[in-house]
Amino acid sequence: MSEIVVFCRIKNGKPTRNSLEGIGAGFKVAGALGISVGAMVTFKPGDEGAFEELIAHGAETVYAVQVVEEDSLYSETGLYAAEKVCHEVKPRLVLLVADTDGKDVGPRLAYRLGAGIVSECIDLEVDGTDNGVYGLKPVYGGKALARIAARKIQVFTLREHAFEALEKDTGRKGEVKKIDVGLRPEAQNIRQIDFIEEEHAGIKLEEADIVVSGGRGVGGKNQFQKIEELSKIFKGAPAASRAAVDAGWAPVSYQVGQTGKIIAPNLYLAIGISGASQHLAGISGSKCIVAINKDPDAPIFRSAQYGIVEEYQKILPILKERIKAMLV
Amino acid sequence: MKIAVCVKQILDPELPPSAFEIDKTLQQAKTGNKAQVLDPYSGNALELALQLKDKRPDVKVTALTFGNSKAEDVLRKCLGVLVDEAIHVLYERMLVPDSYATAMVLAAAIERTGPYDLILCGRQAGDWDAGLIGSLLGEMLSMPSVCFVSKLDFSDHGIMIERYVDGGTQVLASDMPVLVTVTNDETNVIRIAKVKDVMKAHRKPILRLEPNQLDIPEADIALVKASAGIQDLFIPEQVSNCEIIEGEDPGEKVEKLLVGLKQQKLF
Repeated sequence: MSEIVVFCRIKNGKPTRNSLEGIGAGFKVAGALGISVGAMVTFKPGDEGAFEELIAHGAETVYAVQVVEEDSLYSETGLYAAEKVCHEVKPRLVLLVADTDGKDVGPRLAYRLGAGIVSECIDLEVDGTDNGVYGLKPVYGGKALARIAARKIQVFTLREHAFEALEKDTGRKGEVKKIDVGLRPEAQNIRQIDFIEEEHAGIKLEEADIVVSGGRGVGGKNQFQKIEELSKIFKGAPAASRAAVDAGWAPVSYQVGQTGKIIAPNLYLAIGISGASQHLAGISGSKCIVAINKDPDAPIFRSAQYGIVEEYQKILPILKERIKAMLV
Repeated sequence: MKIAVCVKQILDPELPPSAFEIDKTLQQAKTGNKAQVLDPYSGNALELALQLKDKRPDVKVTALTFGNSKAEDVLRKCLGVLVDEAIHVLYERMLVPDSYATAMVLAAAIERTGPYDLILCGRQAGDWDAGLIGSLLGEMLSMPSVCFVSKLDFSDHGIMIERYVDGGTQVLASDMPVLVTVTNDETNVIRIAKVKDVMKAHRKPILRLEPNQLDIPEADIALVKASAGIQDLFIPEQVSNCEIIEGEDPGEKVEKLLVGLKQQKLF
């Protein structure tokens, strides 16, 4: 029987990338604990193809819960199904990637299972002596790391993209167990009225190879347009720190950081960004970080590969012209 | 209509890493005389409550915190931006309560001083970034909860909620009571208090409660005992290999940067 249950999700007939990363995280500790990894999903008719995909990425059992209709808040559907599956499977560990749904479901599921919970882990460790599992979690804005045990039954939520999915291998064997959980009693009275899809003029921030990002040092809404212009010339996407969003210079959809988007572009150009740890948490997967800041002591320089200590206004126009000339 | 906002005092997140120290016995950051501030997401939650109060005069906003005696400062700040009532659940024990214990105490304080039509929390606090309190409170109070809310407004029968989810913004209509956790947005930056209100805030009453005056269910106490234990807290080593690009003028710096980026085939 699977003793690690990973909360997974099917979207457009396929498991999400986060689901596969969650299974990958489960595998990291399953070997040391001598237990197996199962994936828990809700599905609608037509989604069954996703089960094979979950198995090919390492799920030894797929606990599949059929739902007729998802609630306006998917977390309600997912929570109800996860609770029922866990009561039946009695897992030792439950893992959820901390995306919108994972962050919402994790603590509530833990409470309902009487389990301990550690949130937003960037690594999981097994203690060889007592087989205890610990989550490693950045705290105080990344200035410190905490190693935390969630005793008894354990629920861990995992930072997005901190774990890697296993390579797809269609030779893997696994079993699909359909679990009937019945209808969820009295849905709460919260109804979706509208869904406004995020707009992005060019390439999606999460998918861009090159990201040009501005922070408090950019200095104003008009100046922020220079960031957007440069991102266009690079054929990349614009981004912002929380400080620039709070100042009203950039929309929230630009926000990168622990509570914004977590991205991993090839090139991240940080302009007038001091580099608070919360911001760095969102870009640590970048291949190359370039920082332009007039303050030589800005923490961003410690995470950057290249740094230019200068007022960005002096650098940007030259950089713009040079890139334009190169890409023609 | 009554609104409760749960707020937290945290070590100033802007504290430079060079000034950051760990107390190994308590497994937490040393606060000492270092600046402590209102958690930024608590500030966003507070602002949303105040915006509702601006729209309807019958709204009463209560700010609630669980913390040591120093945490009174954040309640004074809340009174300065004109919340109607401030409640301080005090703990003076040395150990820092974990999320379960904190949620349990807040839930009991809410039961004791409520009922409330709306409960707001920050999505997570900027020190431990756990993001558990709101959801746990919802469970403990058997109240529906909605996470990552950026805007609130009254509707005919209840409340309109805007929330950020992966891929967009969801607009919801909900009955009350409901609990929401608040995320930042350009429209919910905490307002600046007027000087005269800050002065008055120092003289306003604060309701003080001790955890042992609250009615905490046995089952929840058992949960606290079984919950997270911090095994270690440490400052990670950081190796910097940043190449600061020197040059006579900005033009030379840009040229050198481009050479580096091209070598790595970054574009």
